[in-house]
Amino acid sequence: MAATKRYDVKDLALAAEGKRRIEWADRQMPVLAAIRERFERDLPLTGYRISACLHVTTETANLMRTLKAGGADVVLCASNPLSTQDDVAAALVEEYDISVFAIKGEDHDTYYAHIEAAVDHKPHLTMDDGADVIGVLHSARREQLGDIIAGTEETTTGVIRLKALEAEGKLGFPPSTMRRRSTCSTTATARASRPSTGSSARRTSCSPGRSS
Amino acid sequence: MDGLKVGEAAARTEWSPRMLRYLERLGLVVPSRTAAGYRLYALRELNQLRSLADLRRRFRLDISDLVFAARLRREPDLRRAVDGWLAGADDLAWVEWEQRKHERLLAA
Repeated sequence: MAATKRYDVKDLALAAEGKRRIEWADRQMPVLAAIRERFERDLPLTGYRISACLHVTTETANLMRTLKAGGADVVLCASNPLSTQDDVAAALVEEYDISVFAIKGEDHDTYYAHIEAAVDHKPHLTMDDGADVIGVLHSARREQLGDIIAGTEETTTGVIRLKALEAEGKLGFPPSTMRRRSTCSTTATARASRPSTGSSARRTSCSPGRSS
Repeated sequence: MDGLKVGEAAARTEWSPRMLRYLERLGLVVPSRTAAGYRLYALRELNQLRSLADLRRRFRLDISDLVFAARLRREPDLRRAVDGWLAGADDLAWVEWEQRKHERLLAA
């Protein structure tokens, strides 16, 4: 079931600039582009709903395009309201037909309402950068846990939280921890200083949605 | 009109003769000189003086703001450094938000 409202972004008129920047970033992400070509051919994610809570940047946009190309029904919300690029959010909605709930500088209530919107998507797979979606699913939405196949978590802190849930016997599905992947660690250490840099590099080298 | 001397130029614009000399020292409005060394404000400099006064009023600028803006145009390294610092301030906001989020996560 899709979220009742398809998107909540600052201004769809920003879409053209967002598309231009997403395409520029895509040219620096050849591995992800190759995965997208394979996904378009094989459609391995057909029938899967994915809720992603990540930095809404050009690089994430290309990851979302790739998941959609693989057949997934994707919803994206922000993992940090201050890193959201409004033009990118607009382009994902307007140019790539992907649901986005993210506005740069959104207040506390809007931020969490957007995470709820992502959870409303009833995902089979989750993608987190700080355990927001997983957090909601393991508290207010435990009834949805049975539908979830797996999830990814980007941050070490998020992994600590997941381990705590596991120790309590409350972890509802197997998470994939991105930091443990050697290619991710290498690129993160060498290049990450902003979400756009490190995350993009990692996304070119890490397959989304696989459990470790 | 070949040009006006500093007192005449000041009378035609909103500046004092002292300010005209100051603007010249800063490189913002530079008149030519007569053979005897007198400042000569031609139509171009008079227009610059009027538009500069308008610019200051519209945007509430100090003369030092204009001097710095001129430096940014002349010095690409300075411009890059300032842009980087301003972008860095933006970055710090999201990093701070990120840190607080992780503190909450660890406390959960």
